[in-house]
Amino acid sequence: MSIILKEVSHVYSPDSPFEYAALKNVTLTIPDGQYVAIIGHTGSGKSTLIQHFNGLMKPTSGQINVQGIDLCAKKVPLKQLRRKVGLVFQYPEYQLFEETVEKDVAFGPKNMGLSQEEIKQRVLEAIELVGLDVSVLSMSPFDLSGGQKRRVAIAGVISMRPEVLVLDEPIAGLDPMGRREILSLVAAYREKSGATVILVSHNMDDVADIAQRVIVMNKGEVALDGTPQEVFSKSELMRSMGLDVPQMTLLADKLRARGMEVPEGIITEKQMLEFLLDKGVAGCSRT
Amino acid sequence: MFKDITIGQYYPADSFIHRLDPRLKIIGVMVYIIAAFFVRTYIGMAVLLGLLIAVVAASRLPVRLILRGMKAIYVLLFITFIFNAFLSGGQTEIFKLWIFRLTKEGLQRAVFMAIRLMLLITGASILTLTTTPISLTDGIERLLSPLARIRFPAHEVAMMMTIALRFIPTLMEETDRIIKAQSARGASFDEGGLIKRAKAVVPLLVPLFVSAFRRADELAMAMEARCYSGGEGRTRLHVLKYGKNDAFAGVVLALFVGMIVVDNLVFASAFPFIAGVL
Repeated sequence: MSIILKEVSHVYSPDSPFEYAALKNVTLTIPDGQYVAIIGHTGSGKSTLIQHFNGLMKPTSGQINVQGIDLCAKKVPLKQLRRKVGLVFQYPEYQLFEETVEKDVAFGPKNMGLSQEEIKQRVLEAIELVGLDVSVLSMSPFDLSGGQKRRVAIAGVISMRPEVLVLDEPIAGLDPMGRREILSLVAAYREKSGATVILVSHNMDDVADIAQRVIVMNKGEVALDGTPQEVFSKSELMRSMGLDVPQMTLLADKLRARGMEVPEGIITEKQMLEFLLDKGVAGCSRT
Repeated sequence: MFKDITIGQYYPADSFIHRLDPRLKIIGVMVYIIAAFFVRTYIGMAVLLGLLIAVVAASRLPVRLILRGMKAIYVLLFITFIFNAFLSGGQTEIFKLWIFRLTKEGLQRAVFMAIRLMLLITGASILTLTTTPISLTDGIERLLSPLARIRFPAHEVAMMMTIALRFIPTLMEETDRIIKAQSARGASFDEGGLIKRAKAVVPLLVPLFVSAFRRADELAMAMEARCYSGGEGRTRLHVLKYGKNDAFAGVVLALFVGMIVVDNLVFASAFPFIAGVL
């Protein structure tokens, strides 16, 4: 089981002055359990792409198969598909609507038609997984802080136990602490369930840290696709597409410019630290 | 999902009609709509239709777009037609079924009414299709400004309209996003009976209201931060000015009004046979 896209294109408002091709011939395969990051400039087609994964959007042309379900068939089992693919939108806290956190998190499982006990158990599990105390369950979601709201919203998707978890910029607008918390809860869910995780992000340092694979979108096309090391080593190309590279890649470039021999593929703080320590650079010690 | 709503949408193009002063266009549409209800003869209808075709041609709007606007009112058209055809009395009976009588007069009235409605909708949608919302409200503000003397808040009304128009696309986008987000959690908005469907709207409406209030709050704050204090003493970036094109259009409009008045007064009463009076 995996996500397979073959020459997928999507055109907005065809035959009008607003016509716009958001995706052009995208071909991709995302195997089970992979942690994929999708990055790209605003308007590069990332959001359009991820909405194809759970059938919210239909391709104008091309083939999509997600976890064995053909999305181009005449009758797509949408409910079944959305059970398999959980999608967390940007600023998900703006979708909360119930009187209590418990009811809101239960919305997904309830739509799946699960039993009361099953729903209750899943809600508890999801709330614990996102690192919230069970005491919030009886509170109104509108009384929580911004970061807590977002975690409740993510719990609302996790409670459906998706095989594929897609998150559209889940860390946008959070402080460094909040970012780390969200990313670690995503990692915790992945470890526990073995789910595929697809993360759209603008933060290259986080992407370098966590993703197994990076897909770079540019003007509706896949511009680069590979491991973080492979992708971020092309820092010139990245910059020409209006994207950043991780801080440590920048540092490595600067060190090289000053004449130090730095190997390719250093993208995280940890790797950089290891390298500098091995080199015995003055001022660095293993303490 | 809101693709078919053309009323109130702006269609960007560079045409004679697009460049006209919004005040003139608003007055023109009002005059046109009044004329559509004034006209009683076939000749008058022909004049109305002729002007409309000329304006559409000069506006470079795709005809397809204008016809799509008709889709929104076809039910209304149908009902109006049926009611007028069967229930307006008249002498020359065509056929009779129980209490329903179809007469020549009724049929004529029904056709006229349907055409009037179509002209009305088309006229109004040409206005919004060729005028940006901002210049539209600008025009309304200027047209209403004489009323300020009797303490009518012209600027405030225009500002409210501007804000409302400004937020229509934003709220539509927001609605679309919330629908998608709740569908991703397995919600469905198009199945089940009436009660189930009404209930299904709750997960949509609550977040939409919350965000509308949040946006209102933020906008008020941003306006205050920029020292907004109403219309008094406020100058504008684009001052509306009548130009050569507007003069030409004004003359056309005046001629049109003249023709309708002559048609109504002279033809309708003096030569009812040629004109086909109702």
